[in-house]
Amino acid sequence: MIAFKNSFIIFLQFMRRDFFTKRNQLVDNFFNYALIYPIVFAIQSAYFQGHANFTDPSPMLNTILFAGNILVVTLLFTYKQNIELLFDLEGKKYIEYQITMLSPFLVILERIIFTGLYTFLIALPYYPMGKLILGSYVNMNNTNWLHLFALLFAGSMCLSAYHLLAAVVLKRTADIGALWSRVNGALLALGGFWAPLWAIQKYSPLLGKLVLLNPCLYLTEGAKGAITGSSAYLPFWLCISMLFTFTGLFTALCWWQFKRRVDCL
Amino acid sequence: MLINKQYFYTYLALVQRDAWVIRQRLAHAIINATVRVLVNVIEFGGLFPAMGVPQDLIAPLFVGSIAMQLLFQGMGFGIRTLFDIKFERFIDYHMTLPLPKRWLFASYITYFCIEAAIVTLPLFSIGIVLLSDSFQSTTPNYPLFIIIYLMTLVFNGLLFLGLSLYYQFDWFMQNLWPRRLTFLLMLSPLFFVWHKAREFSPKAALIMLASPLTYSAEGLRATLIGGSEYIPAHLCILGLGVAILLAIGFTARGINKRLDPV
Repeated sequence: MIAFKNSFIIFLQFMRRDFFTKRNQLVDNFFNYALIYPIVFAIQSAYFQGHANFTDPSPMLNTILFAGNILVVTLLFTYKQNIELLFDLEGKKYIEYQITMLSPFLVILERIIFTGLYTFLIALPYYPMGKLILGSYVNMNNTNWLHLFALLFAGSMCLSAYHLLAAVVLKRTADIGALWSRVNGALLALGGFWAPLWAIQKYSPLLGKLVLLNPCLYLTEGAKGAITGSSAYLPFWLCISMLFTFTGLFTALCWWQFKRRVDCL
Repeated sequence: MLINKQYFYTYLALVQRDAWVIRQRLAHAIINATVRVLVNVIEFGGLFPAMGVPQDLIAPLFVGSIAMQLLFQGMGFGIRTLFDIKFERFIDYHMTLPLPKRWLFASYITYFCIEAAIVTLPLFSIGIVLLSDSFQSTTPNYPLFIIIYLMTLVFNGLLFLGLSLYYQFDWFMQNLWPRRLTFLLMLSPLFFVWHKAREFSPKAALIMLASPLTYSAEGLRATLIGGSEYIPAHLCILGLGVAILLAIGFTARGINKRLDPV
């Protein structure tokens, strides 16, 4: 019991340490990810693409195009926060000091939770800001905000775990380009960034089944469903449970790979 | 004359060394490009029409996405230069070579152009073959395409070399995309056709003419697809020419600011 309490205190101290080291970038990050990106994506996708690329533009179509863009914000932000571990493993190995004080699993878990919470905080203003910019160009009257924020939370946790896994799987920093070209690019394109699941299924039923293995899809499908209130997207409960399942899976894989890499036992 | 010849040989040796480095990474670059081609073909050839994008827009949207890929290539080049300046300082050795700085940085740009061409030319050729249905009624002008493609490569190389020299490491990594490049992207018709944007938002379309990416995307479309739907190629060449001159000025400022060559 005492050991558990001690671990919990150190866990909280690490969270505090992370907050302390990242607080200087908080304003910059908030400005970039919660202000600039929503404005740029809102104008690019919902206004220009919605009007120029479709024969029958409508606020609902604009909303769907804008809703999927949250994927870039969460994917980029979790990448930026968690890829630091790769640089650490190549360089000073601060994490080796951390695992002398706390169970390696808890060290991994702390990083995932911290980045997940940080990303969630940064992603929160995304949709309200988009609505503010686009006004009647988007239709967010049927939005279930509780569902939307719950999905943002689950999505942030999932992508945080995914990028920490990427950080321990990649052998060297030079492989980061390959991560984006070979994996993240495909996750984005086939994860509902633009095209929802019904469009993927319409194009190819087989691809429609394969993309169900893409965690990003559950974030965008859930968000599109929560915003439009339409049953054309995957249901909220399926999306949120799949996002948490993927979070658990990525955390477990990350822990397994981390043990192999750092040889901490 | 003799000195210039000597400079040229040194420049050539640097380019040869870079070509050797590229050859080491060629397999990786080709795998990356292949994955990108497949994803782009599925996205533009399959998913967009399934969403309701008209068939006649698939070819211009695909070509526009290549301009975006060139931007990503440029970003990779910029990051490598930035890491070198901050950590490895291989550039210090380059600066001591008996070579004027303009020749040295020309070798950097040549390196970028070769690498970006190796990665993006398969995107063009394989992508066009796979999306042949959408490219059936095209009237390509290959000589003009090569000119615009090369100008786009040079512009991207200069832009990212300048950005990596001008900005500090932390600022570049933290803020370059959101505070500089996304605005450039927002004001560029990479994912839609400029003429379509002009139909519903003439003022915004006018503002887009200030962005060099407009000329690179529309120029590639005009020369690869043809027709009167795009900004004419000669205007794009003019626009890119001005952008290259501005980028040279910006890069020179970056060199003076960061490297302070005597």
